Amino acid sequence: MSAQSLRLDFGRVERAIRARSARWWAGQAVVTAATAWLLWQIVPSAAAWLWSGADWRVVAANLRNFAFFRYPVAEAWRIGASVTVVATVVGLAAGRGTPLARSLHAMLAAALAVLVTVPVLAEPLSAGGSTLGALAAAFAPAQAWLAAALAAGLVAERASATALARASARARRLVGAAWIVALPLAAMLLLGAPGGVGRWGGLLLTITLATTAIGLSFPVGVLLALGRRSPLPLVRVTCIGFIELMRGMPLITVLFMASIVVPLLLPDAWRPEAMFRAIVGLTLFSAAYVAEDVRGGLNAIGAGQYEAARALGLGAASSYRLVILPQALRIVVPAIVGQLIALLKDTSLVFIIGLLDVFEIARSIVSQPAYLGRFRESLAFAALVYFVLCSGLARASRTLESPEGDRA
Amino acid sequence: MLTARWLRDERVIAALVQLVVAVVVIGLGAWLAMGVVSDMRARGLAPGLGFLGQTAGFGIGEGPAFRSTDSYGRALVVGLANTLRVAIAGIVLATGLGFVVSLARLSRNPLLVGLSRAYVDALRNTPVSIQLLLWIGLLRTLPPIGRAVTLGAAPTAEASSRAWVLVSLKGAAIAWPARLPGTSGWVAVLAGLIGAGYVLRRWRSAVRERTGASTRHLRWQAGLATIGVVIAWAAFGSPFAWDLPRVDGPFRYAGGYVATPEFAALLFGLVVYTGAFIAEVVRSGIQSVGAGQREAARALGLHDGDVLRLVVLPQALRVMIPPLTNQYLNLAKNSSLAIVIGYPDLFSIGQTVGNQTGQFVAVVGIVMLIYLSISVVTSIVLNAYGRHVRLVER
Repeated sequence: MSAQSLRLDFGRVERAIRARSARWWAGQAVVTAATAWLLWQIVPSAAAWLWSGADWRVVAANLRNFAFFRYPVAEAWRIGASVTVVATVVGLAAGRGTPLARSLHAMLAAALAVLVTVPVLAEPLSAGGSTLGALAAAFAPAQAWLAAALAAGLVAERASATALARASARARRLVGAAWIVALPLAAMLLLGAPGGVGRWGGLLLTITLATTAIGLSFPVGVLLALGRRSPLPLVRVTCIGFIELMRGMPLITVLFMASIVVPLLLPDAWRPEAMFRAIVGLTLFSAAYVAEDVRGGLNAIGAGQYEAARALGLGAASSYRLVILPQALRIVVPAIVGQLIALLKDTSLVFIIGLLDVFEIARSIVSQPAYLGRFRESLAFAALVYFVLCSGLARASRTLESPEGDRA
Repeated sequence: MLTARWLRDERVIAALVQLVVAVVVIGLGAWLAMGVVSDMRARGLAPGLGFLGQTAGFGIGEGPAFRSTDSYGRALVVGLANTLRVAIAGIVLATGLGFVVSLARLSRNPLLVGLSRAYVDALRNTPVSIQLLLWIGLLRTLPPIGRAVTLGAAPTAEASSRAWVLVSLKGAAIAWPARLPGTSGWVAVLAGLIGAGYVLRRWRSAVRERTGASTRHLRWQAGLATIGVVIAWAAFGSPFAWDLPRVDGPFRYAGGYVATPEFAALLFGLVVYTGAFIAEVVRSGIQSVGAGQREAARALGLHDGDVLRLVVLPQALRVMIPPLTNQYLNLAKNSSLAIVIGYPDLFSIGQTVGNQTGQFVAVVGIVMLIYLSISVVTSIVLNAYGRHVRLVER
């Protein structure tokens, strides 16, 4: 630039600003019009389809399949009871003020409240000739248990919020004990039904697979992450090899391999059910990803913490157990929730070993003669189920990353 | 307590732990191998990879030519080609979509922000398997090939049914450039133009460094390109011809580029799913660049496009490369969901070969190794690129 053009000509500057602003507004107008046009193409027809085009009876008639498939109907109270148990313990934890438990409790209560009121909507929904009413009415058999779970959760939350001092060690131990009692209790309730896990399916199977696999892969993943930074070369190489092997392959091949190989490793007498083979595959796969998350957490802990722990005279094992891991794992919680979300979606791949989770139910019911070609309704409903679970968990974990979440 | 003392020696503990790990790993491997071998013996199968040379006896309706008399090994190669085809196209398209959506999410237009956010939320929080089923289901409601939907019917004399795009139950056929005698000449001229453009750019930049005069890149390059195109047209004529597809009998298209419904659904499904994740990666990358950088660039007089291109993206790229690598790997791995919609990819053909030969462990092992190599190669390439764009610290 030459020297004279550096003298400011305010008229020119103002004209430039006005021109730019006019261009900006013109651009915004074009973008808004284009977006509005796109929405106009999608929204009205989608709404019309939802209300009157779709025949929701395919979902209404298969709601039990979506919920738990061939789990004995007479034993369905077991599912209701375990939901109640879980809602209670989440409520207890929420009352103590743990951020993750609080948002989980809020999500669970909201979901239960919506589900409890759905059958009430059956009449008005079917008034206009829409089959949505049939879908709403199908929720009625579960209404009592859903209401019980909702009430139990809310009461537990209030009770623990008023009776327990938030930060006290006693409160923490009590809630911890409640978890330790509740989870096996829920599992025993569910497993108590005759017919075995071969009859499980739908949402029951999806949630069982995802939560069991994440629960089992957490300790395995922590061990792998610790092994990956071990000074012992053989341990380190084994852990790195396992982690990278699992992360380099599609889950579907791991599940397929697990379903072939696990029975070969065990004597014929205890040939494991497909569900347990799926859990093995999902756990091994997920552990590799959890290990990488935990490694990130371990890397975030400053070297000073290790040195301080060693200076206090703690050995390697105790300094990890008492100093490093408690800090590292707290950082990792949102990533683990992210892993659980991924796992919830990934469980849809268990169809490859013949399990009927939500995805496979949605896929197979459209071959029922009465509902041929109703794949839109079936898939939309299944997608909604996954969407509610995954976006609810995502929202819960976002509260952890916000400043308020850091306090507890 | 003599034993206790040597047991507390760290070197002894280290050696013992390693020994235990070695025994466990080798033991598991041996146990597994024995299990596999005894299972194969029980089913009367020969160990080894000899079965790969046997005749497959099934056809594959997609990708490189494959006859049912070809071998199992060749079937797996065809599957790999199909996987790579969808993965590479998917990565390119998903990157483009992700960038566009992330810019939409970062725009200041509330309607656009809302729409792109709804897209990202809906796609990220549902399984890609369901999405793929939905896309293939919708494609299967298209009219049969006899009543193909036609876009831009061509006014050519020879066949009335030629068009730029034909869509039906048999997939989409799209006009595609076809070679002419002059095509190779054009390619040479274009290569020369790119080289000349590069030299020109270096020269103009050097001139600016020396004298401070504006580079006028656009003007110079437009001039160069015009000259090149005029010369090439004079020498070689038209660069290529459009090969317009038409419906050929009751079952197939002739001409153009034909995408089967399975390929189209898989590619579209993977692109829109991964695109939603890439949009989030790009968005957080762009947001990681401090607002001061943007303001400084604007204060220098750069307009919005240049702020993004010259200042924000180069810095955001460094942050984005690792998560972007993960998304590319996810797309490649998710292409194994082709089995849901019946596209013959590596895993789906592997499963067929396994079913026919009974050699499940060997076949799935090979398939796993191939996926592993794809992942490793992708990571190496992207890590190298990551090092290339990394900020050089003083």
